[in-house]
Amino acid sequence: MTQQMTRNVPAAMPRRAPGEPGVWAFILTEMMIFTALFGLIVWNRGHHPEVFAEGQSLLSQPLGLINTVVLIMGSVSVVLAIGATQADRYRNASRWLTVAMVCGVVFVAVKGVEYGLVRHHGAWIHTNVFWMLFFAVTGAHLIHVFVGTAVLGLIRPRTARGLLGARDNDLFVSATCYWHMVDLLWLVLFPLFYLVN
Amino acid sequence: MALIENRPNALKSVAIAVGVALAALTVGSYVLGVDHLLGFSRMAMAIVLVVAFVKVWLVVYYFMDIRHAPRWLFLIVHGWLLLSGAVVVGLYVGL
Amino acid sequence: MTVTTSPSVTKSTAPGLFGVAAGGALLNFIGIGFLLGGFIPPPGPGAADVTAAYFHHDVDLKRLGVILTIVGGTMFLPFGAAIADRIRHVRGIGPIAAMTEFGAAIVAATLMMTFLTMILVGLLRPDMPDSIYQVLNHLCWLGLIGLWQPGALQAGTTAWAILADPSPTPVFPRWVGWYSLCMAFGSLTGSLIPFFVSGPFAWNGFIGFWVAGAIFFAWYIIMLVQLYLAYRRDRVEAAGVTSDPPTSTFSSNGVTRGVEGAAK
Repeated sequence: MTQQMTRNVPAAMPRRAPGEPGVWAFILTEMMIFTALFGLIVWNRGHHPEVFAEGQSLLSQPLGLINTVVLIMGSVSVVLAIGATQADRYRNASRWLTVAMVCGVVFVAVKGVEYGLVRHHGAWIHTNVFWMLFFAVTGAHLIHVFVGTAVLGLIRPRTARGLLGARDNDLFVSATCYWHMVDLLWLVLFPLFYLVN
Repeated sequence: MALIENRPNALKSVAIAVGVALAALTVGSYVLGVDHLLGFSRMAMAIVLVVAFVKVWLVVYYFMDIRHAPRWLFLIVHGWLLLSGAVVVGLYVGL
Repeated sequence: MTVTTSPSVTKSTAPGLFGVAAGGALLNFIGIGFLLGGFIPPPGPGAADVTAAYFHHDVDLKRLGVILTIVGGTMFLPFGAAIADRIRHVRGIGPIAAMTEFGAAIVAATLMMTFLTMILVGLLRPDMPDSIYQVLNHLCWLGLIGLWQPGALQAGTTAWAILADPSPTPVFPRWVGWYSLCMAFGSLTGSLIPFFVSGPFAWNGFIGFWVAGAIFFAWYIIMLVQLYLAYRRDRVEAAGVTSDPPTSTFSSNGVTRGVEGAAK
């Protein structure tokens, strides 16, 4: 299968890790931490099904769905940004990064609304195991959305100027990979908290 | 990366195709999970979880361009995917 | 290609060895000390009577464990100094990053010495009220595991120095800088410790102790390996060999990556 995929790759070109290779140490470690958190959530769900069912009933599935789609849109935007840089359309790429950043801001805003709604019902980290995990894990993910948005914001000016520095192109791609990580983590968290019962 | 390909139009098509697929799978899972089309069965929920990891694979394989990554990264990332999927689906079905 | 000092200066390899020895001592003393002290995991933020029971069993063994752990904790000082000695060469921010990193190491060592002594107090006096043992235990582990800030600062400044290094032959491979950044960021899980007396986020919980501890100790192991590799490079240079050492970093397009297999 990989042979077919590399048909378009010039034979002499070696396979490179996307972006700066060292960044994968960061991304993979984060992914492993979240695997531990995923396991924690499912394990506790198995041991406290009623608490989870009750907690889930207070969550707004539509808002969760919106947030999932918003992050997917952000991921599509950063890939389009990469495409734009390949066509040397750097200002265009910068605009796609801005779109992704807006997606990040929308996610944060929706999360704020969600947290407000459940807090209104009296739920907090000390209420029970479901809410402890919900606030801690989605909170940790939210911090990652902040960081991902900030990272895109940091690379955006260099992108607009044409990624001229020696490391700029790699860092740009790495920034997009971080964003994709933020997206894919939510793709697991959404069903774990909102859908599965 | 699709950097290696350097065919921006192909990249654009991939981005939109995969994006649409992700959105479709998300909405499908949502309907399955919320409207309980297959009832409250554990099977339906397990499907939702498996689909979640299929979506993760799409992001990793196409968006992060792991398909063009060197062997070590390709194996580690797919290994992570299998591990996480096994942990989540395994614990869900098992407990 | 890997010459980092002027060729006319004969570089001593003693500082490099110092760092490796300190790192080795750090890991071994803390490891054995934790085992003997019964700190894997440590007694949790539990009820007073449960906590008191810890202080009344295998007392002498635990005293030895704590003393060894304090020795290991003292090793944060030379280990931090050894890392600082490397990162200070980074053009521009090297000196200040090194000073900050060493400062953080001093704090980490001080915390180990101060808080573990509280356990020794509890172990010394068998007939105190249960609540006293509980307080001592809380002080120790909230201070050592809950206080993630010094460790994060140490790793964070190391990351900063490595990633800001413009040299084509950087002080440490860039992936080490990225992992250091991740360790610093991941230390934030420690922020949840003051909020919980039980469960996965408490100081003896799955996340608070096991996951966070793994990431934390992995950093020290990685830095020890890097100090050793740097020491080996120094030895080769000192011996006057001009060919590339077997585990050199190589650069392409100005981006330097470590040799993943060997460096890990």
